[in-house]
Order: sequence, then structure tokens, then C-alpha cells
Amino acid sequence: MLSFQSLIFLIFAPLIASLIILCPLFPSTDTAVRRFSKWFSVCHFLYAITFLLLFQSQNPVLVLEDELKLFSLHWIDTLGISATFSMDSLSLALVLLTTFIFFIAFVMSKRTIKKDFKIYYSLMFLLEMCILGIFCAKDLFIFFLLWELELVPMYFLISKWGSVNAKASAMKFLLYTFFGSIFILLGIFTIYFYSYSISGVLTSNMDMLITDSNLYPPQIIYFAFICFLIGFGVKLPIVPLHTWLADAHSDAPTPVSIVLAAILLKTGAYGLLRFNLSLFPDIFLTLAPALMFFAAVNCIYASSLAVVQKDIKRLIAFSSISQMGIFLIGLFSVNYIGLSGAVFQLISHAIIAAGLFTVAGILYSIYSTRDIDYIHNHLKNSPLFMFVSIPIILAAVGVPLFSGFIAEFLSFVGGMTSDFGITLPKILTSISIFTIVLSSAYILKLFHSCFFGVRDLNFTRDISGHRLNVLIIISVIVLFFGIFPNFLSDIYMPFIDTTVDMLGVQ
Amino acid sequence: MNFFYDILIYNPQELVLSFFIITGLLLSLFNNERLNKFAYLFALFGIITAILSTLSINITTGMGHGNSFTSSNLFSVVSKTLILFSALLIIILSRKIISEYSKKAFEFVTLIFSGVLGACCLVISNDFLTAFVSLEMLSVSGYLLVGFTKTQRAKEASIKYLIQSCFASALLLFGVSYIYGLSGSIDFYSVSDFCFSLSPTFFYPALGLLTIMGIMFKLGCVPFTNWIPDIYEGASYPVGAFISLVPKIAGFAFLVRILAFIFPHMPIATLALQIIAVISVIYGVFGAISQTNIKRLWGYSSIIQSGFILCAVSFMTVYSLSSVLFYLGVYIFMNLGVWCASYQFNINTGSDLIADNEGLYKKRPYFSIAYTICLISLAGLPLTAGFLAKIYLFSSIIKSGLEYFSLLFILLLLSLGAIFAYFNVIKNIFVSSSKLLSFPFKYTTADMLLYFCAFLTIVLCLIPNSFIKISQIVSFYIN
Amino acid sequence: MTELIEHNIFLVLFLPVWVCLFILVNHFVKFTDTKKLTYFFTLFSTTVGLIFSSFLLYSTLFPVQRTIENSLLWFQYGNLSVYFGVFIDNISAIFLFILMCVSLAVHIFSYDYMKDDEDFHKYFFYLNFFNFSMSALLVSSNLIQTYIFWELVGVASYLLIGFWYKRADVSLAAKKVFWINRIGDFTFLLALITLIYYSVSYLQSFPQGEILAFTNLDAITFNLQALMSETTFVSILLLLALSAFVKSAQFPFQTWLVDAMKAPTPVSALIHSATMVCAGLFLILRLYPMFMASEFILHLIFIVGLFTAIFCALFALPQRNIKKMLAYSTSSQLGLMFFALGALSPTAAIFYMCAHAFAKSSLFLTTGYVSKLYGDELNMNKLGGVRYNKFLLALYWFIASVSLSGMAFIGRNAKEAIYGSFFNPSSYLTLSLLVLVSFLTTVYLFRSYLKIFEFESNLSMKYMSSYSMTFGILGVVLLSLCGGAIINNELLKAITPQNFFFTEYHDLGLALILIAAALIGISVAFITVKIKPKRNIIPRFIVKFFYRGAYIDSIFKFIGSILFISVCKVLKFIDEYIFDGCVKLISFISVKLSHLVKKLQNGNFQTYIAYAVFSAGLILYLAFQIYSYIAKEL
Repeated sequence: MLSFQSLIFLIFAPLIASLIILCPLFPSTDTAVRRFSKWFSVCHFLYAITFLLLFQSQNPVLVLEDELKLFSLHWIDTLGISATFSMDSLSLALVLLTTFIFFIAFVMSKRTIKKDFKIYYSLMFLLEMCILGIFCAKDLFIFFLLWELELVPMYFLISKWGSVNAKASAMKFLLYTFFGSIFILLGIFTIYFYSYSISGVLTSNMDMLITDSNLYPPQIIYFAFICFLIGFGVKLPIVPLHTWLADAHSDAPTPVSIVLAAILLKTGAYGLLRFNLSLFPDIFLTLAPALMFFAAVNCIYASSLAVVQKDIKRLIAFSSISQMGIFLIGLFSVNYIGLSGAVFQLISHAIIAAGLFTVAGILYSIYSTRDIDYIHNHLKNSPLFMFVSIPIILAAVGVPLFSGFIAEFLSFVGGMTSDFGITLPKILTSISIFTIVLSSAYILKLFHSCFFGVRDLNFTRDISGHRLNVLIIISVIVLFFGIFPNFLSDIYMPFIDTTVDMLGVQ
Repeated sequence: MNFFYDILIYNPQELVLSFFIITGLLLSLFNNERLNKFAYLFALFGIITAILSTLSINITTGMGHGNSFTSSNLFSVVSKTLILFSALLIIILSRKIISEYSKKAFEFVTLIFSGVLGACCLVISNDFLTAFVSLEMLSVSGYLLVGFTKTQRAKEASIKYLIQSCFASALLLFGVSYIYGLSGSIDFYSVSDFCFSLSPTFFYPALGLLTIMGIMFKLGCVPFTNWIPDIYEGASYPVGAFISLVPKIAGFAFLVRILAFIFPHMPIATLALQIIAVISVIYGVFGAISQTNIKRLWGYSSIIQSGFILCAVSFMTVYSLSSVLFYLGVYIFMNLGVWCASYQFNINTGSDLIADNEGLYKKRPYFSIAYTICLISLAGLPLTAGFLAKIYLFSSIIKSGLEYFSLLFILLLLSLGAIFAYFNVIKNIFVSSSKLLSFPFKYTTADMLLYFCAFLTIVLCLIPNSFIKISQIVSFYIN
Repeated sequence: MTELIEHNIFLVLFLPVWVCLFILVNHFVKFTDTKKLTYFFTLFSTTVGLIFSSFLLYSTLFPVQRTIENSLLWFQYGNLSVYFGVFIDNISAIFLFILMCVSLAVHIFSYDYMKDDEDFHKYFFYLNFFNFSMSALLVSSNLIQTYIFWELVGVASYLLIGFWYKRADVSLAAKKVFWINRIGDFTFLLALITLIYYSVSYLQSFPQGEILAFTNLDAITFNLQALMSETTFVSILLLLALSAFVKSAQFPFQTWLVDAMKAPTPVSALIHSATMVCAGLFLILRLYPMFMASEFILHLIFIVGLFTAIFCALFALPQRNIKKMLAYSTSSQLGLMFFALGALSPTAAIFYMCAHAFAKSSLFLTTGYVSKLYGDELNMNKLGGVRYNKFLLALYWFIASVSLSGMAFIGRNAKEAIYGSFFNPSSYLTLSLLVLVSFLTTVYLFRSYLKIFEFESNLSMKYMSSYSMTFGILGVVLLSLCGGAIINNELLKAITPQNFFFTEYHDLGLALILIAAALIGISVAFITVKIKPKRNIIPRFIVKFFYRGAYIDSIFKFIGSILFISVCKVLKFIDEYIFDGCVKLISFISVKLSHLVKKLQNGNFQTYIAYAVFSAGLILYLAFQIYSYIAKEL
């Protein structure tokens, strides 16, 4: 019964919420606005769950082709651009993830946001609407519009509520990501006009575009592929293009950096999956072994950088870059195991990163500094905080029985069993397996310098209330998905089956 | 007799405008207080009748008819409506200035009307003579408007404007005289017949480029970009808005007609225009990055926008011309919105420095939201018509050939710099700082206009379908 | 009876987990704060485990060697199907039995030891978690599941070592231990994934069953060897052997065991003497058919085992801290076991493992008791005269060291089993080295006995007698005393893997040599401790060299902190000044250019006209150049 209203309502509900909050007669006290947004995100998450239930019950590969009736049917008729959204199993999984992470972000913005609550929550809802739209967009230009639209609220969230030099890093974030989206625009134009020149039909709907590479002259199809790769590489930080992430994280407030680390990186990964993998399958197959080099560099380089970071949030930022490297290994292995491991890594890393940033946020609220050497928190009387954050720390390191391990294991196995005939991917995967040692190095450094240590602070009181619940929820989820990975992977399995059949890979 | 009849049937707006100019001049003679109060209403009435008079042209039959002096076609009609519409908005904006200088109210109104008349005639002109005359009419009214407020900076700016535009007109005339010498006539049709027969030797394109260079002055592109910041800073806000809108639209419309007639098959012209466009965008971006005065910033931003438009015009395909028309339509609202916001800010706080709008959000939340929407639209970020127009423009560049990728890439990189410049303004608005200027509420029409423009930028992005369809149809009938 | 066992294997296996959950809930809900309840539940789960493992031992060995297999699908992606299950054969049964015995003794012991510690519940929570992961490791049904619990055991030891997290050195040691274990996990994971690669992509012939299951290990080894080139096969085995060396603290990696001594003593008794360190031994025993396939690897294990046995014994001699000495002695005894494995006598290794487990855990527990008496004092030189007030402890220590040095009881039979195969003219050299090892063991054991128990010490003893501690140690000492009765020859014959045979070896000559070596060792110990020789026989720097454990610890510290961190710092420099540098450079250049453009706007009029003319000319020139260039091209 997934009628068209429900999909459109799912995506644009946050927009309605943000408008409700913004209108003047809405009470502007902190508790009212926060409680409203918290409960709204909970209902939104449950609403997304109903999608999941319906998805499971109906035929697995259910593509909901819904023209968006809100706009004048077609956004721009003459250019063949129509705002179409549809949801397959991958976007369903990511939509669920987004709604959950935003719920956590709203819970965590209790004490961290101290001024201008209305505009903050409306910007967060606007951001959520963009991300949901990105995950479900079926039209090139709608994807690009939402891709750029997400920059504006993110810029204001970082610059207005961030720490001391937040404005500079917010501007750097905006310009760097816009630089990335320039390449995406170039890629979109190439496909858009070239498929028009072949098929004579001017349309930017992803299904109707003609992108099989033997119709295209090779240099154009490779150019489009490389453009998309660079564009999404900036967002999913592939190493040479990653310098914006550390600054954006270190200056963003906790809930914003939770959203940034957990979901915004995944939009880049989603782009790679949807554009590079599904639109150009055979180019992807030819270039995958070479691109595995980036995956290995991402893993090793970022995690060795994380070891020497002084700032907690920069350390966690570099750790998420190296975790995304593991996603890349699974992706560029282009086989069933690797791809399922990669998508598993997307979701499990989102939850772990949310947990890590919650811990960093709590430490920041206790010490109001992010410098690791200063914190040296001798948590004499808050063992509960330490005890609850142990599962998150272990999950980040990739200890078994946690979801981090399953993702790592599958991606590495996928990377190793990628049959491109040459041994390069295998060597690169074995190099990047070394990240489990490096990741234990920097996560333990973070854990030990924050929780164990000499300095005796008598006033630290144990965490309680909403922050404790968030950490408990995250550790339970991470443990649950680690022990029963099927619950998570069944959601996005249809996507993997279709892509693997399309690629014709074992 | 039929000459006069022709003009009446096919170009009613010019007639209405000239009628109002004459009555305005007469009324300004009386120079008594009570009468001057009605100047604003008189101006409104005049511009609205001019707009309504376009309805009397029946589109189907009248098109394509051109006598020796003017030719009315769909393209010129649409650009005339754009000019008149922006003039209407500017008159609404300048209500305060009219009431302030009530003694010279009628004088201001007639100057505006004469500028608009010049612009309209320029668009429909069919030969270089009428083109030159209407160009000069537009510029003369520009000098006087700039100098209207009689402050020290305004006088200096108007003098500069005068001398710079004389130089440009000299260049234009030099080119035209050579064309006349070669082709024996100054009428567009005969000149275009002549240059079809002519093989593109070296000598002839040089002359053509000279005439184009003359027009560049009006658009504020590279050879003549120096005058813009000084004159925008000197002129008062409504006049600055007038100069950044009306001459630009008229200039682009005239440029399109010249390119269509005289250089239809001249690759050298497109190349030169692209170079001019890129350099002017570079000049605009690097000028705007480190600006402190708000009016100078709007000057550089108008250079950037005209650079983008010029780049699309240089391709002269139906698709790119429709994107230009759409972009011009959106440009009116973006630019005007921004000018109204800074004018309102100037009226209330009396300062026109960018850094002074720190913490504006705290005082006037909805004003700053609308102000940000217009700025974001100028920068080309989504959910604003500017974004859509920019996408449409860039797609037209690529549509005329995939080898123009490098050009598109350079323009996109420069728009990156433009974003930085525009965000310099946005940056301070939302900062919650205590250095808040006293911000008494003196509502003026500028405030209402700002909300109207911001609303329109959002709506134009959500429902662009019909506007794009109109621009695509119109760009067929250029000559 | 056996069906009863087979059906509820999982139930018993998960018993410690339920206890952990109970402790967790109890801690939060504060339902009953008494320590007794947690203690009672832990004891209950370990005793049930002990009874159950003895039944298992009986059912898998007699009447005929058979295995209990039962595994269910955990998750399946593509043709990688990972199972979670139980595979119990003779090796895992004996290891499980030893684990349960020692852990029961340790649990009984640690009640009094931990009574006044405020983290009492957390301690038993971690112990139960360790029990669960270790027993799951021993009974795991395929290599993937072994790896999973291999890491979990490492995590449990990290949590237990870092138990007194309030002390800075403890947290540093826990971090270092976890980091070195992680290297072992890395090599294991690398070997595991390459094995999976071969079994997934090539061995399509296999049914969609368990990958790398132990049930058909011989078939797997045969197929894999046929598939892989020789070098890959040997390198995989090398990686597995390396991870076994790390886990069992063999030569280069024995530093982590010394650092692990910062854990509470009952923990070191359980984990770092009897159970976890034998995990490496268990891995090689489990994959023995694979290791048998390559001579080179067996020789490597043989040499590394012998090398560690000798050198760690030498390192143990000059130690002052009891626990450090015992740690070095553990890695040296483990070296002996690896040596036995390398010398193709796995049953001897298993037998020696049992003997060593009982003896070493009783030594550790007595140290715990002694340190409790003297207010956590572990320095041998300061202690003394414990025999006069705590005779029982001295007796325990004496029995354990006698058994460990091979003079009597179970230790002697075990040593004979290992030395037996070398008691022939061809391998006199190895025999002499082995005798040297047992001589050194007796020296440092009896030196420590004399120092702690014999002479007076100025420390005041806090009088305390705790029944739980004494009973705990008594259990294990009795086992090492009359262990020979339990682990007699029939049991050993039953344990021996299929294609091996175990000749129980009684040769008077070997026994005499062993006893002689032990007696000389005792006299040397007596001389060095009682009569302090004026000028020391061994030069100063050698003693220092052995005391510092051949400076391996500082080498590891150098690699870990200085070398690695400096490499990261260089990378950080590169990241900041090159990747980030060009971004900053671009913004710097654009700001400079904007200043340049501002200069252009200098306000005076003549320059505007000059610029206009110049730029007009420039554009014309540029247009013609490019145009002529393009025209030429077309």
C-alpha cells in the first residue's frame, strides 16, 4: 500500500517540521522546541520502519516510481527534468539510518546548543530533508539540487554554533564541497547531453538515461566516470581531498558533527554506489583494481594520522576517514561478499561514529576543551560513563561480536576474493588489513588518555539522563548487529543481488 | 503619415513614455509643493500604462514587420517588458528619494522615463543611427540621475560616467563609420546582406569587434569595468539599482540583435566575447572578494553576472538565448532584492559597510532571512532561482559542444570565488554579537520590495516551467 | 549420558554469559549488593563447567576416540558461509578440562583476595567473560570462529590487566599488552582471509558447508596444498605460527607477558600461566595436520621453542619481582612445549601443558597469598621467613617447584615424556640443552623458595588466614601432586592424535639424569642465596642484560612509540603542509589577487581610459591569435 503520498511525505516531513518551528507563533523556549523535534524525529523513524515492514512483506525489489505531484508535474518540461523520487532497498536502509541518527543528534543537542534554538532545529530538519531526498532521488538534477542544498544549512550549523574559529572552517567546508560538486555537475552534463544526442530524448531520469559504455566514445565515458569519482571522493573523503573533514569536525558542535560524520560521509558513498557502480558498471569493473590503491592509502594514511592528533574530534574524524577506506575496499572488490561488507560498513560505521562523537561531546561538556593531553580524566567517580563507552570503543577497534568486525571482515574477504586476475588488489587488501593494529593504537590512545590517567578531578559526576540512554542505545545496537548481522543485511540485500547480477560478477 | 502610424501600432510603449516625459517636464515647470507630492503617483501611473500598452500589440500579425527605423519582433517586445517591469520596481523603490527631493521630484521622474525610453528604442532600433541616438539618451539620463543627489561623490561619479561613456560611444561610432564605409549603409538588414556575401577577411571582423567593444561599456564588461564600482558607490541606492538593471538588459538585447544581424557566421566574435566574459568574471570575483563597501560589492557582483550572461550570449544558439532571457528575468529580482536590502539597511543605520550588519539576525530575523535568500540566489546555491538560472546557463554552454568543457570548468571555479564573496556578507548577519547598531524601524517600500523579490526567487525556482517555455519560444524570433 | 551432554552443549557453554548478564543487571539494579551472590553464581558456573568437561573428556576418549560436532549457520554472503558451532575432540576436551580445573581453583581463591576491592562485581564479570570466551575458543568448530574468540580472549585479558585502571602504569601496561596481541591477531586474520580466499573461490567442489571446518581438516589441507603454490602455503603457516608465538609469549614477544603481571595475581594465575597463554599451543595442535605438511615450519617451531626455553629461563634468574620471574618461567616452559610440538610429539606437549598448568597456577596463587600477607610486597629480597608463620604456603611452593623441576610427581613424568625421544646417542646435544633448561628452572625456583620462605625479613606480616585462599591453592597443588594418577598412560594413549603413537617411556638413566640436574640446581640455589659470594661470578653487565630481558622491552618501546610516532608525525606534516597547504595557498593567492584588483581602482580617471584601451587591444590580439590557431587546425 505504498501509495505515492507516503514516499513524498517521508521525504518532506522534516521540511514541514522546520517550517512549523520557524513560524513565529511556535514557542521559542528550548525545551518546547527540542521536545517537539525529538518526538517528531521518533515518529519519523517509526514511519520509516513501517516502510521497512511493507518492503519485507511485498516483493523484494520494489521500485516505487513516484512522480512528485507537488511540483507542476514536471519541474522543467522542456529540459525533461522531473522531480522523481523512488526507494529501493539501499536507500531504504540509508533512510532508516538517517532518521535514527537525527533522533540521536536531537537528543544530544540538549546542553550543547545554548542559543537561537528555533533556527537551529529548523536548519537541522532542512538538512534531514536534503539527505533523505538525496538517498531517494531518481533524477540527476534533483539529486544535484539537494546535494548542493545540504551545504547551506550545514554551513550555518557549523559557523553559528561552532567553537572559536568555526566560521573559517565552515567556509572551507562550503567551498571545498562546492568544488567537489563542480565535478558532479560536469559529470551530470556529460551524461545528460550525450544520452540526448544518442537517444534524441532529453531526460535526466536515471532509469531512462542511456549509459552503456559501448555507445559512448571512450574518452567521454571515462571523463564522466572520473568526474563523479572526484566529486564523491571529496564528500567521502578519499585521501588527497580530505583536508576539510578534520577542520569541519573540530569546530562543529557535537550534534552537528554526529550528523556530519554519520550521514554526510554516507551521501558520498551512496553517490559512488548509485552513480559510479550502477550507471557505469563495466568502467567500474575495469578501473576497480587501480582504485583499490586509494582504498589502501585511505586506510593506512588516515589511521596513522589519527595516532598523532592532539584534538579528540580530529582524531575521530581521521578514524572515520580510515573506516571509509574499509568501505572503499569492499566497494572496489566488486563481488557479492565485498559489496555486502561495504554497505554493512556504511551503516555500522555511522552508528559507531555517532557513539564516538557522543563520548567526545560529553568529555567536551565536562572539560570544555578537546585537547587530549589536558583531559587526562581520572574518572574516579564516573565508572558508569567508562563502562558504557567500552562497547563503543571496542566496536570502533573492530573486536568481534560487534558490528565493526563483521563489516571489516566481509570487506577484507571481499577485497581478497576479488578476481581481477592480477594480484594487486590482494596485496593492497593485505596491506590495509594492518589498519586493525593502527586502529587499536589510536582508539586506545583516545580511550586511555580520556578515562585512565593520573590527574585526580574530584568534581566529575557520572553521566546520567539522556546522554547515558544514548550511549546505551548505541552499544546495544552495535552489539546486536554484531551478533545477528542478518537483521541488518536483509534490509539492503536486494540491492546487492541486483547490482551483482548486473555486473555479472560471482 | 504612415511612418507615425507604424510606430503607434507596433511600439505603443515608446509613445506612452514620450507623452509622460513631456507632461512631466511641463509639470516640473510649475514647481509648487502640492503638485510635487503627486510626482510618485504620476510616475507609477505612467510606467503602468506603458506596461499595459504592450497588451495592445497583437503578437501574431505585427511581428517581423520592420520599417527603416524600427522593427518590432517578439524578442524586442519581451525585453521591453523586462525593462519596463524593472523600471516599475525601481520607481517603487525610489519613493523615498522622490519625497525627499520633492522640489526636483518631477525632474527625477522624467529622467527615469527618458532613460527607459532610450532603452526601449535601443532594443527595437533597426539601424545604427537610431541605436546610437537611443544609446546616448540612455547614457545622458544616467549621468543626470547619478548626479541627482548632488553630494560630492555623486558629482564626481557622474562626471566620470559622462567621460567614460563618451569614450565608449566614440569607439562605437568609429566602428559604425567603418561599417558604413564598407557596406554603404547603416541599416541592419542591408549590412547583414553585405556581410553574408563578404568572405570573413581579417579587416572586417576588426571593425565589428570595435562596435561590440562600444556596447561592452553599457554591460560593464572587461574593457570598461573600471567605472562601475566608483559610479555605483557615488550614486544613491535607487539610481544604482536603475543603472545596474535597465542599461544592462537593453545592452544585452541590442548585443543579441547585432550579433544576429552582423556577425551571424563570425567565429571570431564568439571567441572574443568568451574571452571578454571570462576576464570580466575574473575581474569581478577578485574585486569582490576583499570588498568592504556594500555598493562597490554590488558593482563587482553585477560585473560577475554580466560576465556569465555574456558567455552564454556568445554562443548565439536558440537554447543559450533562452537561458540568457531566463537568467535576465531572474537577475532582476536577485539584484533588486539585494539593492533594496542594503538600501533599507542604509536608511536605518546610515552605514553602507559590509561589516556593520553584524548580528542583524537578532534585530530583524525575517529581514535577514530574505536578505540571505537573495544573496544565496546571487551566489547560485540551490532552492533559489539563481541556482536554476546558473544551471540552465551552464547547460547551454555544454549543449553547444562538449569541447567547451574547459570554459565551463573555469566559470564554475570562478563561481566558487563568487560564493566566497557573497558569503562575506552573509557571514556576519547570523553572528550573535553585541556590537549591534541601533536599528529603529523606519519602514519604506524597499522593505516590502525585498520580501517580494525573495519570495519570487524561491517561487521562480519551484515553478520555473512556464517561464522557461516562454523564453524558449521567444528566442526563435530575434530578427 | 553422552546424548544429554551433546544436546545441551550450548547451554553449558553459555552459562558464564548468563552469569555475566546477571552480575551486570545486579550491578545496575542494586537488587542485592552482597558479594556472596556473585561469588556463588560464578562458582556454580565453573563447577558445572568442570563436571561437564570431565564427562566430555571421558565420553570423547573412552571407549573409542570420537568427536562431538554440532554447528549452525551464523551468516552467509555469496559463497562465504560462516558457521557457529561446537567441535570437541580429544585435544579440546583435555584443554577444556584443564581450563575448568584451574579456573575453579582461581575463583575459590579470589573471593578473599578481592573482598575489600570496591570493583568486586566487575572483577567477576570480567572473569566470567574470560571463561566463556576461552571455552568457546577451545570448542570452536571452524577457523573463523577460533579467530573471533582468539580476539575476544585478548580483549578479556586487556580488561583484566587494566582492572586497577586508577594506576597509570597499569593502564599503560594494558594498552601495550593489547597492542602487541593485536599484532598477533593481524597475522592470524591475514592468514585466515587468504585461506578463505582459496577455499571460497577454488574449492567449489566442497558442499556449501562450513568453510575451514575442523571436521574435514585433512581433506582441506590436501586440497589447499594442491591449490596453492608452496611459498603461499608456507607463508600462511608462518603467519599462523607467528600469531601462536605472540599469544603464547614466545621469544620476541615475551615482553607483553611480563607487563601483564600488573594484573591482580589470581588473574595472572588463571590467564597468564595456565589457560590463555596455551591458546597458541592449542592453535598449532588444532591445525597439526596442516603444520605437519611443511618441514620448515616444524623446524622453526622446534628452534623457537628451544631458544625461548633457554633464554627465558636465563632471564628469570636475576629477577627480583616474584611475578616477573614466574612470567619468564612460564614463557620458558611454553618454549619447551613448542619444542615438543616441533619434535613431532604432541601428546608429550599436552601432558607437559597439564603438569605446567597445575604447578604454575599454584605458584602464582601462593605468591598472591604471600603478597596479601605482606601488603602487596612482591620483591623477593625484602620477603623472607614465611615458612615460620605460614608453613602450608611453603609446602605448596615446595611441591609445585619440585614437580615443575621434574624431580617428582607429574612434572617428572611430563619431562620424561618430552626428553624421552631424545635419550639416544644421535641427539645428545638437544638432550643436554633440555637438561640445562630443567637445571635453570630448578635454580630460579628454589632461589625464590629460599628467599621467600627461609630467611628472616624485616617486613611485618599482617596476620590473616583465609580459608578460601588456602583451599583454592590446595586444589591445584593436589592436582599437581597426584596428577600422574589422573593423567596416566591410558589417558595419554587415548589423547594421542590418530597418526601418532605414544610410548610411555621409563628409562632409569633419564630419570637419574633429571634428578641429578635438579639436585645440582638446588645446591647452586642454596649457595647463591645463603653464602653471598664476595666477588660475583657472572659479570655485572650480563646480569643486567638478563634482568632487562635482553632489552627487548625497550626495543618494543622504541618501535612502538618513537619510530612509529615519528613516521606518523612526518605524515601529519605532509598532510598539513601539502594537502592542506595547497588549499591554503589557493585562498592566499586569491586574496593577493583581489588586493591587486583593488589597486586598479585608484579612482583617478586617466588610468581608467588607459586600462580600457589596453584591455581592448589585448582582447583583439588574443582573439586573433586563438582564432588563427583554430583556423589552422580545422
